[in-house]
Amino acid sequence: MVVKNERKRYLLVEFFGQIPDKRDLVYALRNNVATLGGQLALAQSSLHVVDIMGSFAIIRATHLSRDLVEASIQLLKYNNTIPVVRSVSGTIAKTRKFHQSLISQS
Amino acid sequence: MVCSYFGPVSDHFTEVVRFLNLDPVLLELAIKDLPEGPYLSRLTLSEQSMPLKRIKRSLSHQRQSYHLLAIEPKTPATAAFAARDNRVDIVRINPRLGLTTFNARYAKRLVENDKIIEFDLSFFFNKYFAHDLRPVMRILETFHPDHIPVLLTNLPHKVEHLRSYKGLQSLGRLLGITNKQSHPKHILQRVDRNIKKIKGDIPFPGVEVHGRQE
Repeated sequence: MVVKNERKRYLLVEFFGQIPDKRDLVYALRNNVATLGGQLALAQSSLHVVDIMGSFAIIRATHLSRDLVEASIQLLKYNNTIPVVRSVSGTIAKTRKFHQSLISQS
Repeated sequence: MVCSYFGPVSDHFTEVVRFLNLDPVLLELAIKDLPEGPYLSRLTLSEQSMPLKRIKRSLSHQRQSYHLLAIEPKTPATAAFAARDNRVDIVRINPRLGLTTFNARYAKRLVENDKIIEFDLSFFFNKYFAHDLRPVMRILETFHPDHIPVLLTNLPHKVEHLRSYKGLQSLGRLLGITNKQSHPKHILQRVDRNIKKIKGDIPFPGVEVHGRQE
């Protein structure tokens, strides 16, 4: 039986101020997604913090819940940290490449 | 990207603006207090601070000092005045006035008079916002902002509350108010036109003077 994989989106998020640790970030994002869309939306979003690299984080979600996850990132409240979504991509390789290019620019 | 900011400006502010790639920012400040940089000034008149009579009187004077003039109506009379007056650029939607004011007819009037509508999304930042969101949803059911330029804001009074315009657009997308009309270029076009008006290059609506010598 052929099962089509669900389409993913990888969001590269940069933080200004104190950088949250992975556990806090996951907890806060899950909370926000559940507040905005409910538990069903949270389950459908397949939300996962892939990696935290310095002031950047890679967050994975399904392409259908991308808007919801992007909105919940904006609502993040963690010691006055300001999050900004730098890029959204369909592959993690591209996201990492973009991250490298951002680092090399700065 | 255009974002509104209503709080005090500090060195930290410049850093945050650079981080968020905001270019330019709409600051609610007097022009003399404006810091150096690509910032624009806006004035928001609210009935809480002055009655409608005083708002009407002060508009002509303020038009010469600020890049954008906004009105936050608290009564239907002010909402009607804000929709028809040529000096007003932005009308902030006040969900408390409800459907009796913000209906399809009002939206049509805003389109005719070339106004920008401002949606306050600050309620999203509260823990429980369904109570505040409900009146907005009711207004949006009949008040289709498809043909009106939209400015999204979260009324940041602290630097830490500033968000990128794309971030606000993602919040607006949940309500269905983020479309081509919510692009910041509409606001920048309006600012360009107002700068020309302040300089005196547009003496009457529809008339533009080129190559005027001082």
